[in-house]
Amino acid sequence: MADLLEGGKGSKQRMRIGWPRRTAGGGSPRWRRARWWVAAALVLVLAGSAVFMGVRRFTAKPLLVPEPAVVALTIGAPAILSAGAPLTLTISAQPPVSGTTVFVTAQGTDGPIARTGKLVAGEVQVVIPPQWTQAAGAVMVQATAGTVSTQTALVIVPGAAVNPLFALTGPRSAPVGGDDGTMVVAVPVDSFGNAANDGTVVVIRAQQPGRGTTAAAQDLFLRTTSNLFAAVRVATRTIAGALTAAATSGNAHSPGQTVRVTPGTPLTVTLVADPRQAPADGETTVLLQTGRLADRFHNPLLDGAYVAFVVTGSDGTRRWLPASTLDGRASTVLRASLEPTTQVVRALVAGMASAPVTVTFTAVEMVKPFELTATHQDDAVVLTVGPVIGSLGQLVADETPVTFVITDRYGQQQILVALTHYGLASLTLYAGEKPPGIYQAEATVAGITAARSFVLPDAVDPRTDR
Amino acid sequence: MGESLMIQKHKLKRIIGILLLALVVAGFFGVMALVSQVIVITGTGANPALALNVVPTVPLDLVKRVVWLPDELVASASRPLEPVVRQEITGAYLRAWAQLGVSYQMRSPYGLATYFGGPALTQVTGVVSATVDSPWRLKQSSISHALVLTFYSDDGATVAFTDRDAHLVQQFVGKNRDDTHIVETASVYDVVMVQEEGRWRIRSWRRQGPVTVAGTLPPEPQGPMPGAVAVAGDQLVLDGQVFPVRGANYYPSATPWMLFWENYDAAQTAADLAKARELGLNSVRIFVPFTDFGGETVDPRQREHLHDFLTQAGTHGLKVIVTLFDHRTDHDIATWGADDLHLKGLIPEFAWNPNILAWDLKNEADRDAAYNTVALNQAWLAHVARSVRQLDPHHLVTIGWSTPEAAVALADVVDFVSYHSYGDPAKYGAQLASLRAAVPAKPLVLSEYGRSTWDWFWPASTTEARQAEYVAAILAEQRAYQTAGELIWALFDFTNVPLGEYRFPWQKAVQAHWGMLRTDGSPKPAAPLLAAP
Repeated sequence: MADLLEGGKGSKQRMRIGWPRRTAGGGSPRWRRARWWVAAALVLVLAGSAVFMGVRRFTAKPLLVPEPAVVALTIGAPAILSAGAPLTLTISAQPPVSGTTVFVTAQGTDGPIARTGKLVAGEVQVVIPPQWTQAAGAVMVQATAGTVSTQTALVIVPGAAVNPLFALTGPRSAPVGGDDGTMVVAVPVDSFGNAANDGTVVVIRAQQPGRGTTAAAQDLFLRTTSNLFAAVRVATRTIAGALTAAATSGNAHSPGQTVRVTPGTPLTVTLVADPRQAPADGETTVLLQTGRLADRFHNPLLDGAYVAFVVTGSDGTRRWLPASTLDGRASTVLRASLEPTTQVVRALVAGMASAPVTVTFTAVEMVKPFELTATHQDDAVVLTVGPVIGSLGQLVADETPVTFVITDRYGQQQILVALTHYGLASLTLYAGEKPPGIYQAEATVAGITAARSFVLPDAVDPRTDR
Repeated sequence: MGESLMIQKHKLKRIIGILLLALVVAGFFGVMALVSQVIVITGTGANPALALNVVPTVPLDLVKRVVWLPDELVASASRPLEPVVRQEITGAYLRAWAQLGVSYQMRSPYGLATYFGGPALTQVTGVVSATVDSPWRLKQSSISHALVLTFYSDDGATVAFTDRDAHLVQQFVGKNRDDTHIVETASVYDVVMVQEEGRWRIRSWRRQGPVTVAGTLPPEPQGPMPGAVAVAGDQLVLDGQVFPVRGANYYPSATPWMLFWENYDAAQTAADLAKARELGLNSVRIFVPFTDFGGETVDPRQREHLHDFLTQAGTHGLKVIVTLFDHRTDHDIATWGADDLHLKGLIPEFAWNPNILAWDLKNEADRDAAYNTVALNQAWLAHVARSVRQLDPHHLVTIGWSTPEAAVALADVVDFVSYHSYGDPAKYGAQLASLRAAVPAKPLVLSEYGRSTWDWFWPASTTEARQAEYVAAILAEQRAYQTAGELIWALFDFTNVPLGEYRFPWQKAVQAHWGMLRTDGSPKPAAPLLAAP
């Protein structure tokens, strides 16, 4: 043993055993015996815990079926309660025991509230706060003690209707005529927001446009609420404008609701063009204007109503000129074409069209006859027009378009445009661009045409210069 | 001295070695459990939709709980409601209820302004606030609503309707989780909704008319219909004669539990039921898993399988106890609506089927108290009983409790009391006597009992001979107390016990050998005892 205590000498023995002794005496005999029991206990605890948890996991919990301390319960409550008033419930039990817990629920419009109380000599009072009783409606109260339960019903009634009376009006615009109108939906509510009881009288007044503001001129509707609301349909009459509606119930009033009564579709659409004839100079304008657009009740169309002027050219092309009404009329301008032509105009509004109106743009002698020359160069022909002289003897404005029509011997045409500069316009045709041969050229400016023929030479081969 | 020290250290090493061995064994079991869980999870597959955190514009399940009854429009001032608008109103109305429930749960008005407007918002905010000081925490869930349109304004901005059946369930939970009260209500509500800022909001509403509250007994069955089993005193009767239930719990040998319906084989069913009949049995008990049958949307294919099974049972002269909601343990009130839809999709088709002996509302319902409070458990069962009776007033209703002691609960809700017993036959008589004393006037049916014939040291196993002894002992008590009958667990031994049902090899082995018929169809010694009078 001394060898084991000394370092070095007993090291081989210590290594064989496993670890050095911690105490000189190797522990007390009692501890040495206890270690075996501790180890065994640990194993038993581990195994037992596992078995216990497994058994507990799959063992059904016993059901709680308490014996009721009471045989019967009754609930004392008012049959009718005003909204916002405190509600006191008196629960009575038979036999009149004490200490039993009673669970009370009250189911109202906005949800339930739960309270508990303990019976004292067979009775307990439960107070439902006024904040909860603000919601009107049918209430079911249930009291439960153990497995015994009972229930009773009461009604929370709303108070008188207060301002503002909720009224929805729509649609907010309707055409005149009586076939259409607006609807007013009124929900009178009390100070807690409860809708009035069914059968509450609601008066709806509608002030039609153009009928003055006296009471005699109002449309009066009497309705009673059903399913929390009252509704009435207010038909429009013959005059367009602002319709005002409002609802009252007792001392409650709604804000005024405005509905726009709009004119109906126009009865007829007329169109005037001034002047009916103009020179085709591209500058002169023609005024297009509708007649007064009004419905069958003589209500003019509202300002801003869309009107389309449809212009159809002699070649069938169509243009749309948009406009909008002002004081019942719509107008626009039609600019003259550059070529003489006849155009047909109609006005379209609300699906109705006017009779067609014809506007003629006549030819104007803008220029005097001019010359067309063809100058041959090495591998090109230059066609020159001009000088182009106007009716005042002036050179035509720069960039006046000159239309060249080149026709080959087979009749195929090519249309080219050149612009004048100081009264002259030229067009160069290169030999390589077209087959060589005889061509006819026509040049047109403002309806005046000049023509001549020319020969387009072969292209020069740059390699051989031939 | 040195030698003595060496011996003591050797002992200590041995002790530590034993502890280490125990730890290794425990660790091995733990790893096995984890591996088996992984296998089950990976074997059942995942729902890809769960990976997407998609917020539905309409509550996916709530909208199914709304029924629109025919419109009753105010003729003088109303117009037809467009289908799209009807959907919008439905969603907004349901969300309003859901948001109100959230507010109650949070004890604070939360998000109500999205679904309530004007005076209704002010009022409901005040009422919710009034419950803040209550010691009860409220949870509320919609079960169903039945709406009748009464008004739709010309401009499409105002609508009024009546909710003829605002069916809600509320759970009040005290400080102690077991202190729970479940209240079920069905009310009539008048509602006015207004479209504001693109949303439909409740502008005004009121509870009207009669309100019913849970606690009343479910209606009695309106039977018997011809060919259906009925109750007469403490016995079951069929066509005026006492009908003693002599039956077995049934799964096919190769496809038990969750494998059964997915691999339904009409020919196998026919062969198996023929064997049951050969044993002299007159009834079988089967299980309808909630999820396998499609949950709240019943799978028509599975419904057809059940129809075929019942037809085949009738052909073989067997009555069937159909156990509902198998493997469904979560009875949170938020699930009640889905449960109702499940029943509505399943029960009505079989309401006139004479081959059904009874609807067993839940297998071993008391075990669900491990996942729910007892009060919630019982309230759910009472609700299911009511729902089943309303959908099928012709057939009997029972609950398959796990023990005779548990079966005293809700005895007034069922037509006959059924329970299971796997304990010591010597104690069974006393249990039966106690149950009879607690429920003197209703038939008692032992719907599960049995012994496994897997002969190993595992406590639940035994030999075929001992199984026969056990069955004889149980049946003797059954006859002595003149019960209404029994159904053995199970008809067949199983060749395949699914991993999802039992994880460990010894569990599987035990569970595979409870049958009266071996896997080859040959009867065990206990089999002839089943049909004995």
